[in-house]
Amino acid sequence: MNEDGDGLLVRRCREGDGRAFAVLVGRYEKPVFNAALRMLRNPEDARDVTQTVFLKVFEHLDDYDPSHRFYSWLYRIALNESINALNRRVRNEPIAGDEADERRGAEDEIASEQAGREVQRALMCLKAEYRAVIVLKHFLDLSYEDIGQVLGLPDKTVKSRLFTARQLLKDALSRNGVIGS
Amino acid sequence: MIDEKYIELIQADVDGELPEQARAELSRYLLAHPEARALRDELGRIHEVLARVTREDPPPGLRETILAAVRFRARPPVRGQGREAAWTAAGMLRYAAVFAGGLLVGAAAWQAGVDRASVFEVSEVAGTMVAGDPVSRSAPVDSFDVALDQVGGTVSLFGSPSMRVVQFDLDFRGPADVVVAHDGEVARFSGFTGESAGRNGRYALVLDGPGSMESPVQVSFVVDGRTVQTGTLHAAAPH
Repeated sequence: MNEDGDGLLVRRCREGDGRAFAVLVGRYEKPVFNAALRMLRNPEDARDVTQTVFLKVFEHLDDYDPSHRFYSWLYRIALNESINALNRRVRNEPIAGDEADERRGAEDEIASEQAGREVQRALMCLKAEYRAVIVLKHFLDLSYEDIGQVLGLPDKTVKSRLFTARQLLKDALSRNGVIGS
Repeated sequence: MIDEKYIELIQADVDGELPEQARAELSRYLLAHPEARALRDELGRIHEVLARVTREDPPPGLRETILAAVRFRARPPVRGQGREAAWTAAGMLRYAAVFAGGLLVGAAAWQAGVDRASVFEVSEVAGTMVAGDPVSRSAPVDSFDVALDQVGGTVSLFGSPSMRVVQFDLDFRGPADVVVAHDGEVARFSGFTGESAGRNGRYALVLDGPGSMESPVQVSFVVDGRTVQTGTLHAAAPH
């Protein structure tokens, strides 16, 4: 455990130092929110999941095994909560956020926003297990080893799943005209 | 057809995880196999597209909402009822966690410097309340109705031996503030508008001050700077 970083903060949290938890939330609020957002698409759901994740982390700090990286544990909770939220969604329910996206698009055609919408649309075509590896690799910048820790998978499986996920994503992006087929 | 071994190396190269000792071997393979170069380019394009996607900032107030909820959890058990206090606190945390989305009110509570209360939005409450939650399984101790142009609904007080919760089932049709006075403290929750009605419904305010078990709770609704309705919730409902 890195005692100068997350590990130290976790230890201080366990000792009852609320400020240490505030630092952890500040450090990981954005990646957790973005992971949830890319898994769920809907910002409201992503916000709810982010809150749930940190509350669960706080409740279960004693269960955290300090021999693993804190963020691996945190991101695992984030993905699980995102998948739970996906499962709670009513099937075929229209995904909120499209309308807002279109409205925003009419006002501001910034390239990154356009890319974001298209990528998000393509991501939503993937099964959650494939979306998860894309999110971990590209939005949380994790290594294969870290992804393996988060998902509880061996390195080899991480690589093959990532490759399949990218092929599926490429197909979806090609259908949307974002990249050539 | 690309050998599986080289597919793995190409992907590792694009991901910046290619072992140094494999670099020369991959270079030779790429030179000899155009389909391998095409795959590398294709993976590179996917990387570029994904890199263009903006990392969004979390909604304002989210951090404060989280910390407000955690602060409640962090308090020590009260009045020698440690076991039950801890249990109910965990229940309330789940209560807050399940319904989350307390951004609006949570942020207001934080900004107002409310030190002994945490407030959560609890919309979508029906059917998803956790088993054993003190609020879900008990009847309100006291309640009153609100019927104003700007807001309508019910405000209820629930209690367990170690905690009390004011629950707001409200439909905001226009701008209104909610002022809660309890145990010598006053907290004002502002920012409710008709627009917030899309996700509104149920909010909960957790009271955990030392006098919270007995003191009445006064709830006022303020519209355009004027108090238009005030109701008082009693720990023991008046007979």
